[in-house]
Parts: sequence; structure tokens; C-alpha cells
Amino acid sequence: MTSDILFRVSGIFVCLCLLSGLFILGGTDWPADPSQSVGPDVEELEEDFEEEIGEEIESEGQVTDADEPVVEIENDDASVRVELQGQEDKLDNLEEDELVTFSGEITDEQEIEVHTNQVAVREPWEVQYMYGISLGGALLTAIFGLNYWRVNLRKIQVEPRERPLIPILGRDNNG
Amino acid sequence: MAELFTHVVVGFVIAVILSWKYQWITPPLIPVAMVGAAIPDLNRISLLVDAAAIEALFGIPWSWSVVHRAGGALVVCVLFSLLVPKEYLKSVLLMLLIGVTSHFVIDYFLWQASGTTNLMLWPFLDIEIAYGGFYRSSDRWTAVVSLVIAGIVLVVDRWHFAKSD
Repeated sequence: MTSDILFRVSGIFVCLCLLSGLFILGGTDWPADPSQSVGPDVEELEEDFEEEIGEEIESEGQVTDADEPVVEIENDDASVRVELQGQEDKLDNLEEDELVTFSGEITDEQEIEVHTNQVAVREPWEVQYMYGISLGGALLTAIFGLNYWRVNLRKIQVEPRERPLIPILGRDNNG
Repeated sequence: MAELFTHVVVGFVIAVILSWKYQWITPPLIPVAMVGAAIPDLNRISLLVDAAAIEALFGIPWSWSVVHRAGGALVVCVLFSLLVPKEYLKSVLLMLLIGVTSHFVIDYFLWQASGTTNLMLWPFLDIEIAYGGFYRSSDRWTAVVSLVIAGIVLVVDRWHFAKSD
């Protein structure tokens, strides 16, 4: 194994160790929770909602009753339904299945008072659009990358092509 | 965060414009900036492998969010730059960092329910900045505007280098 390959493989190993350390550090919320989750999670709410009264919370839920309005906050393991209050201009015109992102205070059993201007509503198709267009972005990057770079397995590296597969940029046509 | 398409297209635009002034930014380095712009969104691996599953499996705390913060993104940039030959390492690392920075700058203007920005500088600093963001990640206009600008930049780029032949 050449010194170049050894250098890069060693460096990659060190980076992977550093990254794993950061993933673990992030899980301990030191020096702060990098995910910035605010308030109790869904499991805590499902277990004892009354205990969380007075806590701030930031979350997103799907509208199950547009008249009250009631949203369902859920993950893979738990779900709770809460009635949102305040910000009438946004919450009075909801439709079922819309997604409401909010920041507020838990004021009573199954009730949250949302903070002014800290509510946003979107329709389910908008979330699908977001993931779809993001996938498009990933594909675009991969296509651009493959157009200008190739994998050299023998040297265990990614190296630039002498010429792009498809000339796209102005300098691609220069010698 | 803005959706990934807008991020990588903005990374493309910035890299191409910089290449007009800095000759060392050759065409292969343009997609490198796009990769850099995508790095913070590697936290989306949580959609495939939940952090809670790793915590349960290995009994250790875990958070994927760190790659969407300065500390994690920096380590990923160094890791990716080590995949290329030594003579390209510095330029690739710099382009990745430019892409990552563009991602964080765009996300600074993202609407947050909390009314503050993300902890972008974690773990170096745990500061949040109060700001009223003006767009959401599901907005469509960001992709349209960035695509139009990218189209214009591409046309100007081809004209610029044809003129200098």
C-alpha cells in the first residue's frame, strides 16, 4: 500500500472516529441539544399529558378536526391529539389533513396555546413536494459528480476525469 | 432548511461565479461545491435509520442532527476531501466548505416556529439568533428562482470562456 493510500485511509478512519464521537456527543445534548427539540416528546405527552402543563413545546401535527381545531402529533411509537388555541387568523381556516407547525405553551390537558406568529400551515402534498424535489437535487448532484469524476478502485480514490462525459460548462470545451 | 434542490443549485451558482475570477476552480470543482451544499442534509439518514434504533441497539446516545451543524459538517468535509488524490485535497476541501457555508447562510433565513435560527455553530458555540425567517422548506419559489439564476449563470459562463479563447 503506497504512502498516499495509507495517509488517506488513516485520515478517513480518524474522521469516522471523530464523526462517531460527535454523533454520541450530540445524543448527550452537550453543550446543547443539536436537534433543538423543545418541550416533551410524543411518548411523554401520551404517558402523562397533565404533568407537562406549563411547558413550552415546538411540534407539528396533522389536523383531525378542523372546527376545534385538533391536531394529532405522532411518531412511530406514540400519538396524542391536542386542541390548539390562539392565532385565530391561521387556526380558524384549517382543513382536515393539513399539517400545522407551531410553538406554544401546554396550558391544560390536551390543550396548547400557540404563540403569536409562530404557527404555519401546509398541505400534505407540500411535504411530498419537498421530499421529491430534494431527491431531484440529490440526483442532480450525483449526475454532475459522475460527469466530472470517476472512482479508481485500485488507488482507493475518486479522481477527476481528463474530460467530462458531457461538456456543460464553458471551460469544458477548452483544450 | 430549504429543500436540497435549492441548496445544490445555489452551490453550483456560487462555484461557477467564483470560477470566473479564480482560475484554479476548474469544472470538476463545481460539483464539489454542490456536494458541500448537500452535506448538512445528510442528517436525513434519520429517515432510514432512526437515532432511537441505534441507541436501543448499542446502548449509546446518538443524534444525526450533528451533521447539520458546523462541527459535524466540518468533519464530513475533511472526510470527503480525503477521498481524492493529494494534489486536489486542499481545493476540494475549500469547495466543500464553500458549499456547506452557502447551505447555512440560506438556512439562516428559513422560518422557524421557535423564532430563532438553528444551533448552526454546534458544538463550538451554543448560540441561537432571533430572526424572523421568510420562507419555508416546502415553498416552490426557491427552486424556481435558483434554477432561473443557474440558467443565466450557465449561459454567461459559456459566453465568458468562449470569449476568452
